[in-house]
Amino acid sequence: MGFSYDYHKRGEICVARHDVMETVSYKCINCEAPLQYNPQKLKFYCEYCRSEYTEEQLRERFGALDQQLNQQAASEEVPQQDVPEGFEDFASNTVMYTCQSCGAEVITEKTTAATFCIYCHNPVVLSNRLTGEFKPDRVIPFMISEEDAQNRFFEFCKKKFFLPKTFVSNAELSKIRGVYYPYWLVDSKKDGCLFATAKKIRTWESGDERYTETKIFRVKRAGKIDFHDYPHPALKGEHSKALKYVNPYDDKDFKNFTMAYLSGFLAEKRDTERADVQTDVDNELKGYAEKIYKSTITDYDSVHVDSVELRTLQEKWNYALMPVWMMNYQYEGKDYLYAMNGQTGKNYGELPLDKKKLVLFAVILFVILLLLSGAGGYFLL
Amino acid sequence: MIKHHFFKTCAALLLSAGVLCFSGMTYFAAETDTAPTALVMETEDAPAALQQNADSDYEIVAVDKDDDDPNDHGSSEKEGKNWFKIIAIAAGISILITGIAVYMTYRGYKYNGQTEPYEFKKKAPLELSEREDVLVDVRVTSVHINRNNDNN
Repeated sequence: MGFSYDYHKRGEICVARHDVMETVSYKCINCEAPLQYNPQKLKFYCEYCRSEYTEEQLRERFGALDQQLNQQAASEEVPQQDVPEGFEDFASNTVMYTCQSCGAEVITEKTTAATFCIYCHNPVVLSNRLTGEFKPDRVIPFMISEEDAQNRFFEFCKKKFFLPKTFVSNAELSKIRGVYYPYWLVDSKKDGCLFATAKKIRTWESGDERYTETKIFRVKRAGKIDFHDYPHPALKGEHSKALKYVNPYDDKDFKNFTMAYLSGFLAEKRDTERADVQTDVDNELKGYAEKIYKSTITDYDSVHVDSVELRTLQEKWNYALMPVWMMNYQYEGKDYLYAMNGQTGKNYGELPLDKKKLVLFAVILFVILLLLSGAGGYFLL
Repeated sequence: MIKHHFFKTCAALLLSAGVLCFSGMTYFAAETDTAPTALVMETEDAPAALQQNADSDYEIVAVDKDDDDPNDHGSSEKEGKNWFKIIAIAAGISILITGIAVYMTYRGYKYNGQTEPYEFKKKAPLELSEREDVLVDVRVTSVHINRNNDNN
């Protein structure tokens, strides 16, 4: 299956267009409507005829297609040509695909791997984004449905007294979207050692003298550490911090990757390679190694780490897609991001503070404390 | 910008709290040191004692012999509380605790959910091959304890 590229002008905007079919929609066996993965039932669900299918049934039906798609090489980057001035950034970061349901042209970012057609809302999987070297090894399917995610977010906000009242609204909740984000999962066997200085302090009194004895120890701990599935976001940009802190995910729900899981959700493909993040991962693992070795140094009053040495014995990198419920919102001109782990429900995100409520709380607390400590001082002093 | 103002405000609050507490406690300490010691004697001896001790640091307190409660030094007690001292210390403590509460709330909203992302205790088992604890130095220091042996 070959590709042809031309530039299709829409007004003054140029995007690269892939003419040949690279989009996939998984259709219901009964009624040919689009199938979506249902996190509550853990099955593929047709919202039109309400049929449900397991992964095995889909594999039986679409297995050949999946295999064919997986064997395709990832598309090559085509150098931009004749892009009007001022649109280089847009042209270099966007691609256009054709929706198989309605024929509409869908513009997406280069890292998008699954999306919805903005016209017919048909879920679309951009198959050539996840083939060849970009094919994930594993995926954790969504375990929390959109309704459940909205309810959890609403419950979470109810407990936050200083959130602005206008913040939690149906309009905001409806913006929540389920996205599969790419992660590198690193299995690394390390060998190393830690050197530290530890102290034991003892005090006693004898007559009019208080004695303090300080014993100083030179401590060494050495051994092998086997890191399993250390996750590192494989996407650059503003979401990397959120993607880090929605972890951890539970290994037990890992499945072999199949594109059908992406149906009904958004998905991103990685834009970093192993070489780009190797140094960061090594530094992070070294930090964890220090904590692990230090946890074996007990029965001391203080421990100061002098140095940690670590070398890699064996390393294996896997590429996986993990589910995240994501919401961007604006409050008083500032952008906020809320992220929820699509498997465990753990949430992360900066929340806006209602300054008036905070100031009122501070004033009331100050007055109460002033009265209490004033009364205490009157009777005690 | 907002963060900058917020931290400046917290720093100003903490400084005010510190100054108020310090001034209240300093005033309290100074007052305690300069308060005269009361010397109690019976009324008959008072005029002679007054003449002898006119320049002394002691405050002469006359007590009637027939007084049922010889320990009642009603006229020797200072009347009224020192309100400046009480308010200064109370305000200092209140500002300090309020500042801490506001800062902790701000941090909770700013860094919500920023917990350990990797369960290293479960997913990174350690196979310890060497464990060494060598004593390199022992230091002993002593401090003289001032004990108050004043019989008063």
